[in-house]
Amino acid sequence: MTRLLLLAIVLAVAGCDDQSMRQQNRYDTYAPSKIWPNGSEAQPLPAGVVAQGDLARARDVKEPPPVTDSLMRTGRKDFEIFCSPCHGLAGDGDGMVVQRGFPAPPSYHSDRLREAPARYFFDVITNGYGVMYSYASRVPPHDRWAIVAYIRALQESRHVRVADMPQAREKLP
Amino acid sequence: MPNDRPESPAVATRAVLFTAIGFLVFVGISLVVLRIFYGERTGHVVFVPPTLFAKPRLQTNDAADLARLQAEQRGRLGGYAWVDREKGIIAIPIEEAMKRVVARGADAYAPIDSNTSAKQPAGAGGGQSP
Repeated sequence: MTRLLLLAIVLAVAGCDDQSMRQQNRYDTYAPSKIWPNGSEAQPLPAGVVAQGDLARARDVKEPPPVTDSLMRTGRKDFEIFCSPCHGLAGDGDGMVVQRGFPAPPSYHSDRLREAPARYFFDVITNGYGVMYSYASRVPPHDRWAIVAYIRALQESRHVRVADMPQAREKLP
Repeated sequence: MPNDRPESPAVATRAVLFTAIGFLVFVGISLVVLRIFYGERTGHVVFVPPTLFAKPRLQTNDAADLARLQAEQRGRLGGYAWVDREKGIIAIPIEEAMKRVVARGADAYAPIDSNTSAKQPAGAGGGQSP
């Protein structure tokens, strides 16, 4: 009987404490600390540290992937998701956002943009231009190149010499 | 000599009765006058049935608007058409254009004009350019 009573007391006492480890010693963000020489909890990254995937991203930025069917499909999908709200599905700069009063972007079918190098489009997607904000955090470099390839296809679709495609003559209105 | 006459009632019954009747008559006359007055005053008022306010000029069916706009834009990507008949420039379906760009291989990123004229060497002005 005494043992049972002791056991019950031990179990009851054990249940009184919060065993969930929810409250522990920790530093708040930018809290002062005596451990480090600069007296702060926040420490700068050691020299040479990069985020995981940074090297691959840098390589993707520098080297455009070969244009394949798959890349072109990716470019079309991403263009319709990210670009068409302003640029329009056909690249004329007449997307739905523009219909609601937002400044219209230039048409991809203008002489200036038809002659622009691919890197120009990539840089605009990366850094933004005018009222267009940067899409660097939304579209990875590989997919930015895919969009650039699809922009080229959009331009191509509106600028083919009939002499280069004689079979199209019979389909023309 | 004791006063053996019965004590007169303290309340003047006639005065109270006249006052009450007078009040009722006053209320009755007032009701009749008010009835006539408001009948004259409000009898010809025509109550306008409640109507809806004009709707604000906003998109009422944005999904349909978007579908219509996209259908129109996809239509531009779908067929053959003349862009500039004098210069011999035409529009082709986007699927065809995608195949043509892919077929260029290393020149796929190059500006369209340089490809169209086919005068520049391979890789000129392509993705590798700064």
